Parts: sequence; C-alpha cells; structure tokens
Amino acid sequence: MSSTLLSVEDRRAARSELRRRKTIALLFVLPLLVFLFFAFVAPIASMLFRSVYQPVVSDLIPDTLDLMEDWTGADLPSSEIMNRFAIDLKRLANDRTSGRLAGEVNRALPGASSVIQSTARRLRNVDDADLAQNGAATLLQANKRWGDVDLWQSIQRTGQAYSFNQYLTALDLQQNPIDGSVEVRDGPKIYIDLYTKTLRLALVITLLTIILGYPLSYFLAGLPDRSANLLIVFVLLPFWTSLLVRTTSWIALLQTNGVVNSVLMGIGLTNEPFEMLYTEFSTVVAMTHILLPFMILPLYSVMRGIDPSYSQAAMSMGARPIQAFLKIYLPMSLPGLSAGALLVFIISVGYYITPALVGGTEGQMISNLIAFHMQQSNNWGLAAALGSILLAVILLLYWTYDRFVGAKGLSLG
Amino acid sequence: MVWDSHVYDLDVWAIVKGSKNKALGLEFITHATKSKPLAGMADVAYGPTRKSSAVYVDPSVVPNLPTSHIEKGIKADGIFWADFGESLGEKFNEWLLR
Repeated sequence: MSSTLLSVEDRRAARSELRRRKTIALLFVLPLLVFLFFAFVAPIASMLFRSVYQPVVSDLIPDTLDLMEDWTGADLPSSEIMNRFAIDLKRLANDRTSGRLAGEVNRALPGASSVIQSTARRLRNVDDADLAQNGAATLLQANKRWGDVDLWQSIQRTGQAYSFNQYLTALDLQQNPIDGSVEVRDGPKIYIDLYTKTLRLALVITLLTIILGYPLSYFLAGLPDRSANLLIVFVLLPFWTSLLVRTTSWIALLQTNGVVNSVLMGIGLTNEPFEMLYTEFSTVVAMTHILLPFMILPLYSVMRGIDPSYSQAAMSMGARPIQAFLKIYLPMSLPGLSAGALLVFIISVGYYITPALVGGTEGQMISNLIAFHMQQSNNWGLAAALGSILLAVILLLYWTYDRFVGAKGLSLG
Repeated sequence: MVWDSHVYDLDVWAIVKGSKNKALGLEFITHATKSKPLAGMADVAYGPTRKSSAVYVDPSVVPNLPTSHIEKGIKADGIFWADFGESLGEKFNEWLLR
C-alpha cells in the first residue's frame, strides 16, 4: 500500500477537523447573515408578498364575499347577498371601520367612498332582523348607486385577498370585470411611460459618467504613486460627503438667482436667468455628479493593474496610438468599465433622493411615484407591485449582461 | 383683490375621546365660538363664522374679509376629494408625463 493514503482514523480525524473549521468560519459570518436576513431578505420578501396579498376588504366583510362567490358579475347580486352586505356594513359602521372599506373600494371605483360612508351612517341604528329581511331595499333607499353593477363588481374585486390586480395596474392594464380577460386600462396610463423614462434617464447618466470618468481614470492611472494618491483623495472626499449636502448644493448652484445664473448674467451672456432647476436637466446633472465616483473607482483600480508595456509593445510593432488603445488597452479595461457602468445604471434606476429634491415635476422617476404611493395615497400594494417590477427589470438586465459578457468579466479592482 | 371663484374651508374644534378634561374642553369650545371672541378672527384676515359677530368687527376691514364675498366663492368639499383625490392625481401625473 502507498504511504500517501491515510488510515481510517486519520481520515476521520481530518474530516472532523474540517467540520470544526467550517463551523468556526460560519460562526464568524453568522452576525452578518442574521443582519442581512433582517435588513435585506425579510423586507424584500415582505414587499413581494404585499404586492399579491391585500386582505383589508376580505377581513372586513368575509360573509358577504363568501356569498358573492357564485355571483357572475353580469347583473345585480341577489337580495340575499345585498341583505348580508347591509348587515356587514352596519357592523362596520358601529365598529368605526367602514372608512377602511370605503377607501379600498374607492381605489377600484372613484366615487364609491362617499356612497359607502353615507350609507354606513344611515344603517347604524337599523334593526338587524329588519336588515336581514329588507337589507337590499334599505341600501337602495339610502343611495341609488347601490343599484349600479360596477359598485358591486368593485367590492368583489377588492375582496380578493390574493390577486395580481396591483401588477395589472402597475402595467397600465386592467381585468375586464365580465369575462376576466386582460385589456389595456381605460384610465390614465402613466406607469409604462414612467418606467421607460426612468430607464432612459439611467442610460443617459451612465453614458455621461463613462464620458467623464474614463479619461479621468486613465489620467490618474498613469500618474506616479504619490500624485495619484493625492488626486484620488479629491475623488473620494466628495464621495464621503453627505448625499443630501451634495444634492442641496446643486440647488444653490442651479436656482434662478443661484451661482450659475448670477455668473452668466454678470458676464453679460444673458439678460434673463435660465430655468435650470426642477427640470430633467438638473436631475441628470446632479445624479451624474453624485454617481461619478462609482464609475471612477472601479475603473481606476482596474487600470492601475494594466501593464503599460502591452500598449508600448503594440506601438513598437507599428500600431498607431489610437489603434493600440482600441485593440489593447480598452479591452483590458473592460472589466472595470462594465462594473462601473452596471453599478451606476442600477443605482440610478432606483434613485429617490436626488430626483425628489431637484427634479421638480419634470424629473420624476419611478422611485418618486413608489414613494408617493407609500406615503401619501397609502396604497402599499401598488407600491410593492411597482417595486417588484423594478426588481424584475434589474434582474433581467443583469441576466442579459451575464449572458452576453459574463459575470466573470466584472472586476471592482 | 379678486374674489371670483375663491375657495373657502371651515375648521372644527374636536375633543379627543377619553379625554380627562372633557368638561373644560367643552367650556373652552363654548367660549371660543361666542360672537365676540369669533370677531377676533378678523385680526388674521379670516372671516368670523357667526353673523352676529359682524357688529364687533372694525367696519374698515369688513370689505377685505372672505365672509363679505361668500356668494362668489365655493366651499372646499372634503367628500369630493376623498372620492376623487387619487384618481385626479393620477390624471394629473399622466398630463405631467406628456
């Protein structure tokens, strides 16, 4: 037998030693994994879940919705359903939760809120037995609109706890209430346009950072160590400054009587100030400035590692400088360029603070609308659906990049 | 000052349910809505909400108060905005994106 093979005890000892080392390594990483779980995985999972699960209405009127399961939706629901709903609505009115039902149904059918609320107020003191008999008539007496099919259709639609309705709205589609087919929404169509605009702005910003960042990194990479270290500090210092400070300083620069306009008017180039703030232009400029270090740093790190003798060898063999650059240097810097471009693009697609501060109404991106739905219209389901679609778009882009360039072609230095 | 189609709104006093000083609160509201105290709203260019306050207001400021031009204005309707606020906001966003 060869003496390089381990005996059984040695093999067992080696395996348990390996296991021990792996456990220790895992214990080191455990706090980070726990933090990642609570701060990253759990919120995203919660958001994805919220986009398909909205139990508000189904928790409020479960009995009515149970009876509505057999209702086709073509004509008015039966009196049994309407009586049951009247009883449920009276219960909600006395619990003071009818407002939540009104708000949810109103999202599906604007105008429903006042109908539900006023009817709820009238039902508060009606006898239960009376409602079980003539609930339908009482409803119609309280408000004529209980005779409209679309109001009942909206109640049924919002009563689905698990549904893709929010995704349909987020893609400017709707579901035909009668045959259930998906069709283009017959109301305002804003989301597809906004997604396209966001992607377009992100692309422009990425190209601008490439145009500004590549020459600078090339210059920095060619400097001797001391000067390079000093100049790279000038790139890093603004990077370490607070984001809000950088954004608001753009407000001071671009506003109507700000620095840029005062200089232009002072040297006589123009008599009236330019409207630069609260436009798409200001969003692009401010975001390019803020995201430039994300492009410069990977590029600089990769370029620093490129041996200049390759380009020199190419030129010594007769290549002109531009040819040497395009054929030798550029492909070697591509990993850093890809990393920087991907980083800038993905960050700018989801960026919120800068468009919110300097964008005004023209420079709004999808993130601003998601924030609007979270904070003001309180439609967390729709905000979650919009966020999930954004996540899917980014993942698709990264997968496409991986397919054509290869993730191994990425290098942060 | 142009008063055509001005929008006016009303404020309310409310006592939180379960408040320990409910009696004091009611006393305050009774006092605050009497004719003479309400006439003080003219000091901040608001119109007093009682017709009987009119005698206590300085005649020279009366033409500049909203209450003198009520018929030219419309009352802000909370029910309308609860019903149509979101859908109109969406239409506005669509217009902005053009």
